[in-house]
Parts: sequence; structure tokens; C-alpha cells
Amino acid sequence: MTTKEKKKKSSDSPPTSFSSLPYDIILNCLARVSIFHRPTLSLVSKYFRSLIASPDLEATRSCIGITEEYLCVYLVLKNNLNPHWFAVSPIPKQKLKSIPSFNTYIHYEYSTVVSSGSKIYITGGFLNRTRSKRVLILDCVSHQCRKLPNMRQPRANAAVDVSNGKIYVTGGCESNNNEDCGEVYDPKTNTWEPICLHWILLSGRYMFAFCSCHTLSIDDPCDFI
Amino acid sequence: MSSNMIMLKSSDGASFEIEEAAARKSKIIANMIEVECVDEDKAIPLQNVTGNILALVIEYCNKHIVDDDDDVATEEASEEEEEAKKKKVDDWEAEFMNSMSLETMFELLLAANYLNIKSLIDLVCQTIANNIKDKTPEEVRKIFSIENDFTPEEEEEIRKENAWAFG
Repeated sequence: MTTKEKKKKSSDSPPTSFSSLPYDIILNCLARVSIFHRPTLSLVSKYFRSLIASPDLEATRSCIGITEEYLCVYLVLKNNLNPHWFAVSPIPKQKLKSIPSFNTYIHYEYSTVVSSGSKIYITGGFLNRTRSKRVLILDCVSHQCRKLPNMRQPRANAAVDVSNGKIYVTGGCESNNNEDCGEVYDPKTNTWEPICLHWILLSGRYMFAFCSCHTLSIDDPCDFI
Repeated sequence: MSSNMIMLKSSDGASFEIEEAAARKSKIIANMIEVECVDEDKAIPLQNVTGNILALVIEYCNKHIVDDDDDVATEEASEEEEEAKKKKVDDWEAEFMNSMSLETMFELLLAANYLNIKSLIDLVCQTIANNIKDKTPEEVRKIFSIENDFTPEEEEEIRKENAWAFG
């Protein structure tokens, strides 16, 4: 159609540069670089910084099927009373990387921390010696901290397991009522519902749960150690 | 199996003969073959690809079409054979990418994108990613000829945000 024009253009046009590549191609390149190199890449230019911060980068990453395993640790440092979340870097010369967005909440003592997939769940705990109903999710992909609806019962030191996105919490509450003993969060309905003990037994999963006045031993406690 | 040859014509007028099976690695060319019923003497014009880049694309397609044929022919290949074959392809790809400048890589990437050859896009993107993964911001700027458009204050601010706790 416009062969002549194209010919002319190819000889006159400046050399192809990285920044002149199509947006999705640039993302395709950057998505393949480890998340631990992102701080460095953010410093290259304003354009790079906006690319690294863009949710499109994570979308491209999951589209290509790139996953990266890394360990998150929760540390109480001597010079800082607030515990902090860190990512352990696989890159030599870098060790622990603070995750600032994870360190925005106040840590409650005796909260239960479990991880499932790329998410970390923090349930209950004591705030000023009072049990809490708070539940937080830390998303290790988006590095966002999100609060879920409160549990029905305030709990500390509860046994928690996550299965198919549902959060099962048992024990750790003051109530002696059987129906208060356990509850389950369903992300579809965004609500907590009580779970009766028969159900726990029948589900075939081993759980170790304790309420303030009675102890239940169900199946394999290894899941929780 | 098919030994049908087709002709590809670059934007600067160079013509290349290529096996149809190899050319079909490009979804765009595969579509053109389906729709336009290309005759033996009728070349497919590729207005966005220059001759030197098209030569590289064809080299890549030829190499990979042979591998695909092998897959069909040797269904009972042992795991070691498969592994050896994969290593051979990986080595070839590494050498192929190693032989070209960054600018050529960008042009090859544009061509692969235009011709819709997914495996080639992946290969070049991965090579570019490997090129920058252990570099400092200054080095990345130099590799890509990017100008630093941060003020020293902004740069300091980002460095602080990204500071490593230890190490």
C-alpha cells in the first residue's frame, strides 16, 4: 500500500530504542525481571517508574505465567519495638527487604498467622488484653494489606486453616457456647458463619482446636505446627 | 513433511524463499496463506520488516520447524534424548541471540510482534530481561540510552523508599 513511504522511513528514522517499543512488549520484558530488581528499575527514569508501579506489570506477569517464590518473615528488631515484615531476597548482596505496605497495621499479640498460596492471614490476638475480632490479609503479589469483616467472636491464639479461599477459625474465644467455638469466612458472601463441631469432624480434615474450657482434638494437628 | 516453498518479500525489496511449514510459525503469514492462496511465484509482502531482520526471523523459523518435525517423528524418544534435544535448542537460541546487537534485538522484537511469532517474542523479551537484571540504574540507562529525568531530590526519595533493611 505505502511501500515507498515505509522504505523511506526505514532509512531515515532514528535507531529503534527500548522506549520506542510497544507498551505491551516493554511490559513483557520487564515482567520477566525478578521483583527484587524492581527498586533498581524504578530508578532508571520516570517512565520506568510508572511501568514498575503499574498493575499492568503484574497482569502481564500472570499472563506469561511467571511466578516467583520468596519467603516473608516477620521480625521484632532490637532497635524497633514494632515488628516488621520483610521479604527474603534470593539475590546475593541483598538480604531482607522491608515491605512498607505490610507494616502499616498494629500487631496484636497472640494473633494467629497462617499462609496459603500468595496470601498471609492474620486473625485475632490481644489488643490491650482484650481479644480482637480483626482479620487481615496480606497479599504477597500486590503487596497490599486488606482488612476483612470482623469475626463473630473475638479470639486470640485461635487455630486457623485456609482451604479454597475459605478461612476456618476455631477456638481462642471466651464463650463456652458450642456455636461460638468455630466460624468460617466465605469470600463469596464476604461473611462469617458459625461452624458446628460435627461439621468439623465430618469434613475429614484434622484440626486441633481449643476453647477456653474444653479442648477438642480432631485429626492431625500437624497442619498447625 | 510439506515441502511447499513460499516467497516472502521484505520492506526494502529483498525476497526470501521459505518452507511453508516454517513460515506458518507466524500467525500473520499463516493467515495470509489461508486467505490469499499464495501462488508459487507470488511473494508475500511484509511492509514492516527489513531484509536483514527478515533473514533472522527466517533463520529462527527454519530452526524451530525442524525441531517440531522431530517431535512427531520420535514419539518414543527417551527422557535423556528429549533433554539433549532441548539443550541443543537452548544452546542454539543462546548463540542466535548472542550474535546480535541490542538494536537488532529491538527490531527483531518488533518484527516478531508484527508477524505474531509468540515463541520468538518470548525469547527476545527474556534475553532483554536477562541483560538488565543484575544492573544498576545507571547501567540500565546506558544499555537502553535512557536519560535520567529525575531530579537528585526525587532520586534520593525513591532510594529511601526502596532502602534495604540490611545488606
